[in-house]
Amino acid sequence: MNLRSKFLLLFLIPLALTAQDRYMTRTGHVEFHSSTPLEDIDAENDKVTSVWDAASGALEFSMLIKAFAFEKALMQEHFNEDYMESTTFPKATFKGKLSGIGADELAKAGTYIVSVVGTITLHGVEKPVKTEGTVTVDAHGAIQATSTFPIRPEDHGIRIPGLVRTKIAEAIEVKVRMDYRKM
Amino acid sequence: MRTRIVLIAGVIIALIGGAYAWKEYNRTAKDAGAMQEVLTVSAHELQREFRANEQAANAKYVGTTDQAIKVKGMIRAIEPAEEGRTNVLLDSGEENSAVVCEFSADALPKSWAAGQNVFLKGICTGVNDLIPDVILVRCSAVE
Repeated sequence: MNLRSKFLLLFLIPLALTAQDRYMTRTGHVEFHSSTPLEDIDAENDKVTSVWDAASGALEFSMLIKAFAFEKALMQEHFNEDYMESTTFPKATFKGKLSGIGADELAKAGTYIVSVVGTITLHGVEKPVKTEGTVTVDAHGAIQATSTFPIRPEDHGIRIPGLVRTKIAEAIEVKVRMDYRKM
Repeated sequence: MRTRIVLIAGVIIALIGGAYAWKEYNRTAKDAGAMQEVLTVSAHELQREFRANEQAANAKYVGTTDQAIKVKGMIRAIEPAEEGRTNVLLDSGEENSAVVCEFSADALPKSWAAGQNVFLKGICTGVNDLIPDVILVRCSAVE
């Protein structure tokens, strides 16, 4: 091997190793549920993008607010126009770190409890979040990550008029499910 | 007699108002196929405009309320999505992104396949981060 080839290998090997540890999805699923004695509200978005670097733990999500689908059109319109103001704040994002799983666990089937710490930006307001989740590796090596955590609309500056306050839960349950594939 | 007429009129108005409110409360979001498109654009041009100026493209293609746009493009892939829905990925002119169009189970023509040039209508929701796909939902094929 000549000197030029050695230099090329030195450059390419770290790049290849980095790519091997990165996972992505463009069809991640996020749903939320609000339950009060007066009304239940559910919505889902399955066009969430996410990139997870298993080596460093770096984890990111991005979702379009207008891609949330409701059973009732009126709820969807109020959600976009009155509460989320999705024309002004079209996306919600998460940036943080996932810990509790490494390359060894990813190489064998199992369900692993992980912790996630980071910042959610919703309605233009950043808030720290800390939660637990699971990462499941099946026999074929497919990776699914899930988590459930609450979000309080008021924490993100989302104003809910008094007239409908009793119809919307103070803490909205958010469920995340990502089926990752290697980048 | 006059009181009786007023009462009957009041009940009729209340019934009509109640029926309208009930219908409005239970209204479901329309598919793009049931809407008149406001613009026609190629998938490449759509992606290019979102890349060049996301804010301007949002104003033009997403708007403040749901609006249908007509898109022409080549199918790069057809992939299953949640609950029987299907994602049709139109070639965007970029290797790492696509114009992703979501169809309900019965809205996708069975004859569609990768490599085919198609027209469709959809509700544009914007461009995502990380993987910069332009996302269209409630899509419908245009013959």
